[in-house]
Amino acid sequence: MKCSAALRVLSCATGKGNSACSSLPVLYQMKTKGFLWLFMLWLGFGANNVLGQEPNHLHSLILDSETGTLLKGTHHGLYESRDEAKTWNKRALKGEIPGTDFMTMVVAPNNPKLLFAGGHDLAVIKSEDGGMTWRRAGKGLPVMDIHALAIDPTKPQRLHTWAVGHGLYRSDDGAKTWSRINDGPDNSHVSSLTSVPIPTGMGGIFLYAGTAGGLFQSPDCF
Amino acid sequence: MYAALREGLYLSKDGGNQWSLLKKSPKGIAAIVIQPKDSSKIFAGTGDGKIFLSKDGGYSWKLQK
Repeated sequence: MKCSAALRVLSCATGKGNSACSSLPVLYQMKTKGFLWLFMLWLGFGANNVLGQEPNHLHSLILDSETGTLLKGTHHGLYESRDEAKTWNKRALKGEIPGTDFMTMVVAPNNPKLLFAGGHDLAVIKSEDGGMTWRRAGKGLPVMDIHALAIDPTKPQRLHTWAVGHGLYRSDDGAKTWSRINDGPDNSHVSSLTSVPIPTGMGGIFLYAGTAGGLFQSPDCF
Repeated sequence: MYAALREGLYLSKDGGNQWSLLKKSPKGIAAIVIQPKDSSKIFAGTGDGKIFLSKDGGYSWKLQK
């Protein structure tokens, strides 16, 4: 199954593959009390804005469920808020961080301190202390430009990522090593991925991809 | 299940088959996050850096500042 008709309701009105369709979707999902939540977030501005360097420009948002601390990913690093987003402070990061663009972040479902991030010049980095200290975790990825990360809620060691221009990659060892899966969805402008704990009937769960052409769903990674 | 497009946040209660726009949701959302311990609490960040908070599952929103 690629993309159901219902889900295509979310695609750009200008149509799949149309260059005028410049919105970029971002996917999130979570499951609480047996209820599945899937989020496809669409950046409401064009490519020029995406490439711009607005000081407050925001790309990713995560929450430490234990402390309530919010982390905001921007082109200029990470910002944290401890008062429900009323005030923000730039976080002084430690470790091996090759870039500043935090385009995507995910939290391990079984450990709110275990974070993974990707970005234009980050490849994939990993933090085990809630985002204070980071180290590189992208062995096997062909590029440093990462726009999307997903973590499997049923197997937290399994992550998927979209390597810009190179396709879909998967890690089964907590982002230490990555292997190419395939070309990904038909629309290669992937900006978000999420693993949704709906059983496929084939021993896995569904992976969703948000693209400029709509939302794609695959039981076997496209 | 939620989906955000440039015109706002959509909600599906049937696994993605039908969607309805949450009319009071912010436009131009770039990222959102749900409080795992209280799924009615949603933070939404717009592309220009504003953060909105909903405490009722997305039906009403308040700009955080």
